[in-house]
Amino acid sequence: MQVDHTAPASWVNTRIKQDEVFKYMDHGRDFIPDDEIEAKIRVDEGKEPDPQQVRAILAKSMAIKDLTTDEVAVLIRVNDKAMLEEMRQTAFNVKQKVYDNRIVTFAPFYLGNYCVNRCSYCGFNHDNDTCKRKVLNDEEIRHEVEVLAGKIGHKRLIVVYGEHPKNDVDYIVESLKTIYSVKTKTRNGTNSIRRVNVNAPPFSIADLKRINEAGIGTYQVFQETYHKKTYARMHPVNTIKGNYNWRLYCMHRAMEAGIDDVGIGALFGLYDWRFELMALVYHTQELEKRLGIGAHTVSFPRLQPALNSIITPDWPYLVSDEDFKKIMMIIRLAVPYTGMIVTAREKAEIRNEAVMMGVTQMDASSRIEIGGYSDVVTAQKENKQQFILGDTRSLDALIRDLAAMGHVTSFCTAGYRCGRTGKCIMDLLRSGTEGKFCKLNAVLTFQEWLDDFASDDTKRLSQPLIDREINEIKQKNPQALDIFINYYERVKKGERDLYL
Amino acid sequence: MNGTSTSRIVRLFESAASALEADAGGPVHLVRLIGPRTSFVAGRVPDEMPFVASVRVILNEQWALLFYPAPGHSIDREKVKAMFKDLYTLS
Repeated sequence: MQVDHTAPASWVNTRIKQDEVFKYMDHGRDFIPDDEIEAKIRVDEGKEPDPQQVRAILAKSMAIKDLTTDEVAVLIRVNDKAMLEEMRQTAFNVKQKVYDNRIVTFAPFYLGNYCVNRCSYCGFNHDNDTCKRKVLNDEEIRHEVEVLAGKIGHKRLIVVYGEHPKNDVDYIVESLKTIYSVKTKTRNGTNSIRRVNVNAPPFSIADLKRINEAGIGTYQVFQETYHKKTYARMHPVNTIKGNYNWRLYCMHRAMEAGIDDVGIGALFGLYDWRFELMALVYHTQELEKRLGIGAHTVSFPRLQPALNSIITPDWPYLVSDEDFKKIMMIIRLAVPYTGMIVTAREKAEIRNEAVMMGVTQMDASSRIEIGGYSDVVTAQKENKQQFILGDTRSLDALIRDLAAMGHVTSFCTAGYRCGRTGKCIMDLLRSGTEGKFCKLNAVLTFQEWLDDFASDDTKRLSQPLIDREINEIKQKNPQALDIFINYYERVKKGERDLYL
Repeated sequence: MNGTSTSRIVRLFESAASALEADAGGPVHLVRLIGPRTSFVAGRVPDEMPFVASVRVILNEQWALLFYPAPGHSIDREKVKAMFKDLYTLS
């Protein structure tokens, strides 16, 4: 028998504070002009843009300048294979310039799948009676983190909560404290979770202040779809999530609450991917214009099958692999300094290609069922998961594959610990300075992980990469060499959590 | 900590920033301490940040200054704390 998980009306009815939406609007208008976006993507639709025009746009990206939405619309129209390859190469080069050759890794950690909303495409939909509901208690959270940090070696998490009184602000704050408190012994040192990013519902300013005070990393909320008609179709109007603008303005509220690292995203496949891509750019530009800080990360999950979802294989907006690759390239080119996350929803082959298109963050050893990390059963459990994973590589396997591609896996949390957050890190990313810090901290944290968790094969394959990185630091960043070598030697001797 | 207090702390910092930077020989940032997180609030962000271990001077449980001292420069913590002694009445 399913437990009734309906939330009391008194909780539901007080969630949305309309004054905390209207105060940011422009005479009652939001910042996603549907008609304007549709018009921009229809200009010269189907016509291949002039290569000179495209190359001028690519040069602008390479100078680490944000693209205009008109320029993004031009790139969207590119279908010529040779020009797409130029775009891909430029996207990769932009990422290398801003972030160097590191990929940050993290793990998703689902704490609760109770939800009051009825999103048509989601396995956690309130009306999905086959979904086994669970919210982890303190002891269960600790067990999960002991596996994440103590056995796998993760140091960064994205914790995910449904919208329900059982996993509301009090629970979020307490769970964050629990996660940060867990310390584990490792092969040669110790480990703990050093940065917890939060994927949660939109909250009021007061609640966001409380979440901020718990020491979160990035606050992440996806609009799902920016297209208003589709949004209304997917999210019943009598649900909290049915309020488009409450969700759309949550990052304005977050920044007012003092949260300066925010992550936005869209679920590609609900509507025309070109519209969603443009809207994401509008969104980060709005944050930059109104609040002085753009999005710290942009995510672009692609719609996949979910238990009892209405999305069928002939849904007209499902995104092909080729279009998905375009989305990644264009986001990188449009917003050169933003972090880009490609999750294990995607197959390993696509994620490997994504590395060469400018993404900066990937998860691995991922378990997305509630309590999945300490669960001895290894098969994915559809009735406990929001979706099905495409890439089931272990962290060790991902690291080995990335090393073979010349990429260092980073567990860096330095910016978050050193006060390089918000506007500061955005400025440093634009100037190219942060990339130098990225390399230093990537090598330090990579060495930690290799010493504490790596298989013999991965250690052996990774050592030449570490040696090359150290040589590059000597050549390109000699002023950092002394302090870097000092920290590196200390890490080799077992000291942990050193950062610059 | 309300918005008014934060503005006053930022103003206090900005009025002292030049002198602090001159002593340190490098950038100085005002940061908020939020559990394990250190959040940037104010200060000059040069195109080339020095690659030195930052020196943290904690003003109270919520606020600190981060110095990036140039070689040969040291931070007089007591002098810095005295400059911000009014901070303790603003928390």
